Amino acid sequence: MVQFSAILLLYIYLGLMGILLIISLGHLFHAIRFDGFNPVSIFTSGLFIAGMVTVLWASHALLSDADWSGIFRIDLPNAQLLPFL
Amino acid sequence: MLFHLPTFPGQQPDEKIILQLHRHWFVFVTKIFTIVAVAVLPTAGVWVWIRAAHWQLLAGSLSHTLIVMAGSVYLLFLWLLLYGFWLDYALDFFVVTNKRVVDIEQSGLFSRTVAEQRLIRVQDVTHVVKGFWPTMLHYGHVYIQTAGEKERFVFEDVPHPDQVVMTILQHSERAEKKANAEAIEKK
Repeated sequence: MVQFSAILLLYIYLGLMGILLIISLGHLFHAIRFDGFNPVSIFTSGLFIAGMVTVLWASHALLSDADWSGIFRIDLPNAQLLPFL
Repeated sequence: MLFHLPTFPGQQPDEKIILQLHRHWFVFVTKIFTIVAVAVLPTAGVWVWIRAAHWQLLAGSLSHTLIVMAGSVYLLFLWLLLYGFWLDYALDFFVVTNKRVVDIEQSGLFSRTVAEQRLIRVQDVTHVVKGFWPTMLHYGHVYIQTAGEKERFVFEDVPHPDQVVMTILQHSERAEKKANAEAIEKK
């Protein structure tokens, strides 16, 4: 049996999302620097931000009920993730 | 053109833009299809696996949490990749003015190459249209041979490359005649 704190999973997840958000900001800065403020760049940047916000909002909505103070357990070899083994 | 700019970086005051080209829109559309396929196929694969193996994927709290986390990171990564492709497409452009040819290429986030050459140094211009979609949609590469440090410019996947070649040759001849006339006047 493998067990780990749920909060560790949350930290890993937030870390990965944080890296992606930093790269996103880099892209946006890059777009403004080289493309300037024209209708197409504003529209595409806005669409990009809207997409990011949608994914973040949806994941927050789906994960808000999780008990992060608990402990997750995986019983091996009967792990739910690998039904054919 | 959707994002035709009135000026370009480095444009001189007495310089007039004759052609401003981006890659054909179909090049970006193929990238969108790739991203959509990469987004949808794993999801479809997991769905089929759940149905085929009667696997209770969403039954436990851990499974559900892991799926939501992995899915959101994956989707955000693909969205970021798509935006990167868009920036690469939008920030690459080719300019022909009454004085120069300029090739501005963006390679990734931190790499940008600007190559330019005077029109009077253009020696040879050819175009290549290769493949089913380029032939149907009239786009291809334009190769410009110059007498400079960068010997060959390539305008990749530009629309109507035959017209681009004609325009460059016409203006190159005009620039050469003007330069010869000025040289004779000075004498």
